[in-house]
Amino acid sequence: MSEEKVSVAGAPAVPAAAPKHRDPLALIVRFQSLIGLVLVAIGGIIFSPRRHGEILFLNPDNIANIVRAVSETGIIAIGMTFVIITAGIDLSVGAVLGLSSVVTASMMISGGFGLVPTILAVLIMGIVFGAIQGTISTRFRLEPFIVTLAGLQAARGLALVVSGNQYINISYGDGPGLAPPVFAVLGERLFNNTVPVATLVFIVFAAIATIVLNTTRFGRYVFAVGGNERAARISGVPVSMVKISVYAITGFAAALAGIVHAGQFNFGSANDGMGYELTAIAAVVIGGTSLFGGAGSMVGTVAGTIMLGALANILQLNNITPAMQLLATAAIIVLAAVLQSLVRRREGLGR
Amino acid sequence: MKTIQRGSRRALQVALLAGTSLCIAGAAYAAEPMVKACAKDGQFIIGFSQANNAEPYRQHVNDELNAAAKEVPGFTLQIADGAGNVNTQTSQVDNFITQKVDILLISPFEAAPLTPAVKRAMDAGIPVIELDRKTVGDPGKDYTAFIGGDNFKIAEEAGKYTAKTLLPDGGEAAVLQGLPSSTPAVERLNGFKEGVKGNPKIQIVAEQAADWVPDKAQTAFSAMLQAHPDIKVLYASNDMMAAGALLAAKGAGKDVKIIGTDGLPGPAGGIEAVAKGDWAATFTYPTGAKEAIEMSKKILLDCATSVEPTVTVETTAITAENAKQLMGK
Amino acid sequence: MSAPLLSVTGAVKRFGGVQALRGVDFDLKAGEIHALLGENGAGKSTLMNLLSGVYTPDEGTIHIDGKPVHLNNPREAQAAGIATIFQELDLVPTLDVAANLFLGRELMRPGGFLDVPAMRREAKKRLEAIELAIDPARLVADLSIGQRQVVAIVKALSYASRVLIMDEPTAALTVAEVERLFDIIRKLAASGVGIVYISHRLEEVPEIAGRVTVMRDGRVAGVTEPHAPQAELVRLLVGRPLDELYPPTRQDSRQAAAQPARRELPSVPRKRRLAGPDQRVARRA
Repeated sequence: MSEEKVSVAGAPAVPAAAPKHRDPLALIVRFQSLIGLVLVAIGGIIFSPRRHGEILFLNPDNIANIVRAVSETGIIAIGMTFVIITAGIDLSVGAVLGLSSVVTASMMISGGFGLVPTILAVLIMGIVFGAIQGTISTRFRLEPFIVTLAGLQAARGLALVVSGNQYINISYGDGPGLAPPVFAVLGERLFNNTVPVATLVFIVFAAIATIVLNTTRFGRYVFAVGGNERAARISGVPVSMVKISVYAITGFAAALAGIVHAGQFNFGSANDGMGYELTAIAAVVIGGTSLFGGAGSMVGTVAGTIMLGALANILQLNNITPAMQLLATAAIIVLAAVLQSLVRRREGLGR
Repeated sequence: MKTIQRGSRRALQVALLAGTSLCIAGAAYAAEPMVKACAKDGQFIIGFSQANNAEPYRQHVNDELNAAAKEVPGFTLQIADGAGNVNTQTSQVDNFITQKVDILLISPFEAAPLTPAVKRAMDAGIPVIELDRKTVGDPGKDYTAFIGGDNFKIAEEAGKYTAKTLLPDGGEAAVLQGLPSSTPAVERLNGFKEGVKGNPKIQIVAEQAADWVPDKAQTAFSAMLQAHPDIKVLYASNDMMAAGALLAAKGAGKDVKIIGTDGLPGPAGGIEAVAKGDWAATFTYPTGAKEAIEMSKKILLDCATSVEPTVTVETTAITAENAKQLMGK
Repeated sequence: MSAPLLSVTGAVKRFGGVQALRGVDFDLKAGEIHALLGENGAGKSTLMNLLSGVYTPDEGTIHIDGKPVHLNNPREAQAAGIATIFQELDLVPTLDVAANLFLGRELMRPGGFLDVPAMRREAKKRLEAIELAIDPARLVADLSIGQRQVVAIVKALSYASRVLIMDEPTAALTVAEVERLFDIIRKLAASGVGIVYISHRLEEVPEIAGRVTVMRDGRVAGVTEPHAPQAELVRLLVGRPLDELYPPTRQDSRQAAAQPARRELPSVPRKRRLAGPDQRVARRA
């Protein structure tokens, strides 16, 4: 850049320099899942069954139930947020969860591996699985939808092979065929039996992911690749590496969720995590991350995940049928998507 | 409104609880009832954690439970659908614990994963009655009771019926199995084989898995009839597969005697198929719903101090003789 | 005489069987605004991509300050002082202005974290250097097209200060924004930046350029003064005198009617243009 100041004498005010505040609708979309979570919480308090004046919905045990139940899909949704910000999608995550829970169980039970080697191996497997999908997608310019759909089938197939078409029960103890008892901590609650360990894993992972997404160069590149891939490439962003990395992250997240699943339920089955990819995508979209890529927030995803869990909880506490729960979730997803598309159109991005 | 109603119910329970505690303090040696708040005219909530509503048999269980619970004025039945997902079902059991339901009924989708949730309910002082499927542990200790049928015995009955009534002079028979490696599929297959052993002139010429669903059953049985045109009897491990097999037999123009399992009511169920003469028989897989509500009455209304830990419900053979009668029920 | 800032000699580029450039000579002096005209497919974009390192020439050489250089990728071109503003707005709309200006060359804090305040400060300085009051924290999506264009220029200049290549920068701008842009371009040129200005709009050329190179069929059809008669420019562009052109087709008239204020060469495929040449060009003669 030229060192001299290039001044434009008497230039008129730049046409659109007048302070243009963010569209209120855009603000709503940005915080939609937090708003939604607050609304669900208020609804939960109002409609909660009470006992001795105590609001059951706010009972610490109940809140622990909510956040425990969403921890696995939450971990997956965190990974999915990276992928969706790059305008991609990963349909394989539920199946990779199943594969990971089976591998975790069989390594410890039939393989006789210790806790640390098992967890490391499963996490690396998830990363490699995701990276392979990302590589195939970028190398052959295939839609991630198709590649990860194939990945879903592959992971379920592998899980059946590893499990020999059986469930693997995890029993604890010392010796062959038994898992180290410390692994069972994933199914427990800490701090006076209040905070589920599975939820702690979710929260720690979410915190790390938030930092990576918002404060590192990699996170910035994730936004750039999704927002305008060409611009990113011209600016020297290693686009293919970024894309491969985000699928490696979803693979890692799915593997982590699989380990949590195996630990929570003392059990590995090739059918574990069936349909989780869709719940995770719903949580991400409700969280305000754009399926068109380029925009999104980790906090939104966390709020979206918990909101879906809280909604399911309050409906069950009031004995409302699962059908209503599905319909309510459907309405929320549609609302979130419509808001997003309205904002896009206003911003002139909706081409 | 339900909330208000439940509020007053709780108030009543507290009063009763206080009263009961006094009684216990007064008579320290009397055996304690399983639920301290039990009362002849109390209001109680029964939570049922169903494994997966999408299966017709499980819908049938829900219907029977609803019907049986309606008979008891003080009972409110809440059903939560685990949707075939252990995580969902666990969270629903936890929600029932939060609600402090008075009795938890559960058909666990998988045994081991639901075991901790059942333990939490027991620890919270909620009696747990398991229906149809068990969690890990022993009834009477790790959970209150198990009520269910015996898959092996039911299929064995079907086998005996084949050996004695349908094919007394022998012939070829075939089996459609449920989802391979699932416990009921294996038990029903082995039970039927055991049952037909009584007649050595019967040969089982084909057995294939059709995963409990009618379309796979139709395909599989069509192929069986191609390979073995002389099949006289087909044993299907559930009613839906029997319905699929009937379509295959009709398509092939064969008169095959079909036996179903479950004995589901309603227009698509096995009882009507037998009444119409489409199938030879079906063997009910009892839901245990009535027994479960009976047991709940004993615990909550009659203040029972203990209940039978295992209740095996007998199967009923539904044949041309009794099908029409049973349809009305 | 010193060597020109940038020169290309005998550039040939083939794509499969198609020869996009058939031996092109081009040069740019420091502080010059050099317009590059041509129909679609004439080879402008290919030439521009050679200069910005997107493609490498099959034959011919590129010189900077008289020294031959090899530009194997956009980064090398930028390192050599050549910046390009591509035809599309190459900004990430969902990132803020500062993030866009520093994309690919972020300022970092120790520990591997982005130094957002430093980037915003520096971005503000650079924008103010051309007297542009845009808040660096605003999303590009919230800016007007003109503002985005200016951000793109500032971004390009932050890569490189010697040569700026602009591909149809006025295509989406309002009249006021065009004026503003021209001011900026002139000031940049005055500060010694050589500018390659690619346009379809014949009318702009005399207003901004100091020299015009017209390309046709992968060759340089001619280099002229910007104030050359329009008829001469058109002849160079299409390769035939005006009176040989066909009468306008209905569709072209409609297009012309839709945009009466803007006279420009339409972006239609070359074949169609030959079959039905543009009325607007003809009318100008």
